[in-house]
Amino acid sequence: MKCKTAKHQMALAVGEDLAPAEIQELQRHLQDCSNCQQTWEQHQCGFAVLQHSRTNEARPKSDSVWPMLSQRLRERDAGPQRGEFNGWIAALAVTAACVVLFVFSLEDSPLLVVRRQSGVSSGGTMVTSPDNSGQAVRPLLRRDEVRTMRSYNAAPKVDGSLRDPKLPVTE
Amino acid sequence: MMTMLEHEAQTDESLHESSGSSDARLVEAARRGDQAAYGELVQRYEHRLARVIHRFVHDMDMAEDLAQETFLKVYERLEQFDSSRRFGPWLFRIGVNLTLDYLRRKKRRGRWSLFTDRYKDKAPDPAVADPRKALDLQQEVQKVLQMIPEKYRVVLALRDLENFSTSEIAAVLQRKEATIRWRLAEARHRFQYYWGKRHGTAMPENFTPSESAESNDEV
Ligand SMILES: [Zn+2]
Repeated sequence: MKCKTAKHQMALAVGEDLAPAEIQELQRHLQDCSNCQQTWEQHQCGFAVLQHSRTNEARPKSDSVWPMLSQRLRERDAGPQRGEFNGWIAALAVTAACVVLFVFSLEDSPLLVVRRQSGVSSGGTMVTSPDNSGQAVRPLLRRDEVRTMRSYNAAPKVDGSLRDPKLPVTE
Repeated sequence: MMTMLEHEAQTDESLHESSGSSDARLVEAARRGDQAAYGELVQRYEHRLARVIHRFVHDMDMAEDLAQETFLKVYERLEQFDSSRRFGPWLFRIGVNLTLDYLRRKKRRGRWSLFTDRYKDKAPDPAVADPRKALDLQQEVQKVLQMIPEKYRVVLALRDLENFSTSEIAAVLQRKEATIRWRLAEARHRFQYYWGKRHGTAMPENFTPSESAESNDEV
């Protein structure tokens, strides 16, 4: 047996993941190879550390996630699905935002002056009041907000946020 | 591979908590809309799943949240489950993948990393059996695990920390058992190498080999 093979087999033998026949072969090699003997000791040390670490096992905090989970499953089966519901809100909001922007950009009303400001072009259309020239009024919906909602709407339902507000607090 | 897994199902309880109805029967009932049957499956596996996830996230609240997400995902995918296979490895595959995805997203955001340094300033976790004693060694083990690439580290954690068999890990990770054995050997090599670099062959202060040897087979 070559040392390279022996080293591979030692790594398995240390956790009892080697067949008995292979263990015998390895033992024969170890009797004659001081280099591998040293490696074997190191393996035993590393493995013992892992085993000791393993004994410090965490205990679950809650008795069962089932009461909360079954509630979620019932809600899921009963009502419209969360993704579809939010999709509706997002779709309505996007539509509303588009309509508002469209109306503002068409209308030449004396009450409202709409300006495209190059500096905020990525943030949406700014609306200013004629009485307070130059003072920006926050647009109803920033473009990045629209984008966020669109991407949320497009996201698969199943892989929603892990920390969604519906998650239980398991103290 | 399946033959071996089925054989192990009779001898190894770690992924097969056999009491009452079989997993397959419960899965069938759950598919027909029997939520109580699914509840039985959940209660059969939830603590084991939360413990395994906790190995990766080191936070029991988060582990239980991720376990719940796993069960939700599994429920939604019950139709896709191949009932000629065992439920346990399939469940753990979804749970481990969900956990690793979660950690990768966290890592990308730069807030967290797989097997993190969170213990550095963290108060002892009351969920750990003997937190004060456990912390030093856990810190060191986590630091060393952190140095090992994920594909090896996951195998090492499942085999040496969670006592899955190599064939179970193969089923969970959907790799050949030979691949898992190779990764396991590589992972143990790297662990002992980095551990040796940091500590020589010295054991941590509170480490007693005999104690660890005796308490091995509790998991
Ligand atoms: Zn040798």
